[in-house]
Amino acid sequence: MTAQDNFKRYDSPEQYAEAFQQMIDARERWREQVREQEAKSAR
Amino acid sequence: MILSADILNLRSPYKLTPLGELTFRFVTDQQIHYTVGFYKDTIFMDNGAYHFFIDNSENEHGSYDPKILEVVTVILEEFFSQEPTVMLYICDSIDKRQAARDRLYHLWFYDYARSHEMTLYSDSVTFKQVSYYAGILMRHDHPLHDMILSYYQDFLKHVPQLYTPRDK
Repeated sequence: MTAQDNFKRYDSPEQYAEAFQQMIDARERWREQVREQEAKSAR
Repeated sequence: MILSADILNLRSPYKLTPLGELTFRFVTDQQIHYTVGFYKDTIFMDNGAYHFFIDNSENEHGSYDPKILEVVTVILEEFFSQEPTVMLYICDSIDKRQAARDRLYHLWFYDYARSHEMTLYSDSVTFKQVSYYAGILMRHDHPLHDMILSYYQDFLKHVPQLYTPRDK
């Protein structure tokens, strides 16, 4: 395995856009999870 | 990657309570609750990159509190003291303060971090007509430093292509 293999490959503008959308969605999902965890721990 | 609350709390001005594997909560002197930490990236790299976040769930804004930056510094110093890692961030666009948040990263970098040992690169990305700031932070001595920076710049350069307004 080469160092380059560690990077995700995107071959088209659509794939890059989808990847960035996934980054934004992952951030929102993470924020919601953390807020749920925080609410549980505060109870 | 492991972050120990016990180790972080030796230096953190606010007590950090573990909330998840790489996530902590703390309460400021002004009684504002924050969560701070990382989650693993799977979109830019397979291994070795984490997204940083700091969240104030109630969206409260107190007066300037330098201890918050000290907490962030303690966490990031511990993060970068371990195996070669990459930190990614995306500044929120929800309240249109993404540019201000990106400036905070730069302020932190030049005022608090060992900036002579680190690389910070960020850029604005207009995506679906919303402006985001996305950045990367890593140590100069990361074995893949130049390659990672080049791939990241390339990644950000390609993201907005699909949504660039076309000539009428």
